[in-house]
Amino acid sequence: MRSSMFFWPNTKRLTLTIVLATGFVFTTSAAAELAYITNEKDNSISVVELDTFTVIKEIPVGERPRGFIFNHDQSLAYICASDSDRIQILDVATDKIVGELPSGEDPETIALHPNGTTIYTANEDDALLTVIDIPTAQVISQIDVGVEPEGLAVSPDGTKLVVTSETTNMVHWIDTATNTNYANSLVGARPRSAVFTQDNQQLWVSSEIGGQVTVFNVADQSVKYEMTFAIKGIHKDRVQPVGIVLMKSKPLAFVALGPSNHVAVIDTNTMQVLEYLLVGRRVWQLAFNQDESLLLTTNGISGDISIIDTDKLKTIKSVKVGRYPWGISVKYL
Amino acid sequence: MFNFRYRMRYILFGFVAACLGFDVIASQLSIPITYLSNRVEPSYAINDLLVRPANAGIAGAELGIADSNTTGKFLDQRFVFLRIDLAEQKGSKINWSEVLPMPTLLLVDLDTETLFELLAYNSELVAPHLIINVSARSNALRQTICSEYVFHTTPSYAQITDALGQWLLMKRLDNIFLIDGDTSQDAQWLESFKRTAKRYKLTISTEKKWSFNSDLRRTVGQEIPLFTQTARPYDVVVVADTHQRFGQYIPFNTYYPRPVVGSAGLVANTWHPSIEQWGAKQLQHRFMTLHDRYMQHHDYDSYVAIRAIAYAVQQTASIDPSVLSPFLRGDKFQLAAYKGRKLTFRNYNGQLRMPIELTHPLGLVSRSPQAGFMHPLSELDTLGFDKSEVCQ
Repeated sequence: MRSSMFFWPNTKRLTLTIVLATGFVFTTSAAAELAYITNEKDNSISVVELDTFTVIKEIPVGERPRGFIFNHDQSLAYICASDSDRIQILDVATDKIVGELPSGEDPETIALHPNGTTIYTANEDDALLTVIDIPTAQVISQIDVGVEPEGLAVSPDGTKLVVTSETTNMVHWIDTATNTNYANSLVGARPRSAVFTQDNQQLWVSSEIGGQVTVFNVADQSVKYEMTFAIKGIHKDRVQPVGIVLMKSKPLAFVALGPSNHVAVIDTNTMQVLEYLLVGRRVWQLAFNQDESLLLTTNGISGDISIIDTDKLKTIKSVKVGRYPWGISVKYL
Repeated sequence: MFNFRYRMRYILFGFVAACLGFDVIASQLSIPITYLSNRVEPSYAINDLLVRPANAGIAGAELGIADSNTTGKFLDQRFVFLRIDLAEQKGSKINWSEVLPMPTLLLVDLDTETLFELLAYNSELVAPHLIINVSARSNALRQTICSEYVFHTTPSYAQITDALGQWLLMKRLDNIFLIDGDTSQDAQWLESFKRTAKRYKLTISTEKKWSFNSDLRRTVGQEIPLFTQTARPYDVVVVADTHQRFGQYIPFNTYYPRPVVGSAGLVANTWHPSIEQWGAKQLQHRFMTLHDRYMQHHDYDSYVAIRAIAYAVQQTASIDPSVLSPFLRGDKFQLAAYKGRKLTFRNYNGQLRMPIELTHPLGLVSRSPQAGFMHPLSELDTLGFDKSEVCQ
């Protein structure tokens, strides 16, 4: 609350200036949703307009930007500038870095607690999970986790946090009330992403080298399903699950399959793969727009994003962005 | 009787409490892994840039132990690193039962001859040691030793030369000027390269042995062009100089302006400080933090060996070689080792399947297997010996 109060007057003044100076520019850019993509090798963020599918600006940020999320009202964004060892705060209205959060070394991914004031980051180099209080910009706690912590997820009810560790091959379960690690589950090799279902009942975890997605029953950490993928003409070792998103409006899940250059579409009622959609090279992170009509993918090697129409289940467009696009989030209207 | 002439050094990671006899949780599994080496410094002069770090290999194992212990703390497993150095025993008969009194998990960094002796001893034991070779690249070790207790995380010469051969073929550099060194390793490398050349139909149009009778530091610009002069141009110069005694002087001095590959110029190996894809950047960071130098291929080969054991222990909750060996060779074994795909062992000779990096001194050039080289089981099996070439 305190942070958004602080920025509100600024935003308004700037909006006014833009309207007065170049009214039409403001109107066009406000008419579309905007995808924000961190470019790991370019130290920048590309902003793509989602009606024309063009890059409208590049915002310089800290070194090796990876994880990227918005706050709840999308007035601010939090960026993991991994090699700068900090989380930067971007004012979305002005495109300026307006602050920093202490993150510990090499923050890779971030997750925001539903309370909007607690942020979690995985410190990849230090095998730590850092808990940060946003209003005071203080580290509340650092929790020991496995080697190369990566995927982070907070349950929608805010009670649980999980972090995967790539080299330890585990999911670490953390109680957000006490910031303590209460359980650890072994999964396939090199776990990357973790996502809770909206009802807090299931946790989906992808294992990149193991080539599988594991679905846990959150209540007792038991394994409910294990899914593997097979794409015709592609060796199974190249089918490497990374990013996962679960659709709210339909019983569908999408899993990015890395260097197989495909995204799997899964029917969550039957847990069957419906389709494999061809996208750019080494696809890793995924994000929906607000009404979930579009799914965007970041493709690390081809340096672009692919845009998938989720009704037709077709890849409709690719847009060139910076080098090694990594994190992605959509700014709604 | 503990009649020990061997210099033994025990290096313990973190778990000081256990060693000092403090409370140990009853359920905790302690896993000793022993690094057995007999490295002797070379007798010839080496360019300072090429001197192998004193802890080459060992440093990688130490990082592997540290990483495995981070995982182990969630599973009540503690990996303990021990070292046995047999360098002073070189040349004399080693009493293996004295060196290794109990069934052990071993990383071995031994010369090929000593390693063969150890393997012969091990094959007669009722309860053999689990042996992972982390440094010897001899093809014979892969073709004639098929004990289920023996593994190699360092590639064979055949994997290395096949990786180069595929690249040469892909680049259509198929007319070769070959330069031989004079050590037994050079001879093995050369033999392996000739096998590769035959396999991929590469033509060795000229083969010459380096003479070592001039001081290249002074006369490199005169010696090499003359040495590499031929009536008809070749496409590429391949150097077999595994100890880097002259090969580094060949690039840019050849009679025809042609690329140099092999042990100088473009080099095929398992690791290089410039590798950062597939999470490698994190591994490079951790290594640099722990050892204050760049990670080299010796370090990678022993890092992977420790991680392989740790993964097997994690999955089987056992430290018994007779449990771990079949697991390591089995279908359930999968190692994420910063190569972009899972690594597994060939069940017929214990060789780790792995992509090979092709690098120049400051960066990555390519990685083999090259696209288009196919194998019914795994593309990685286009490098090195297939089942039909082993233990026949």
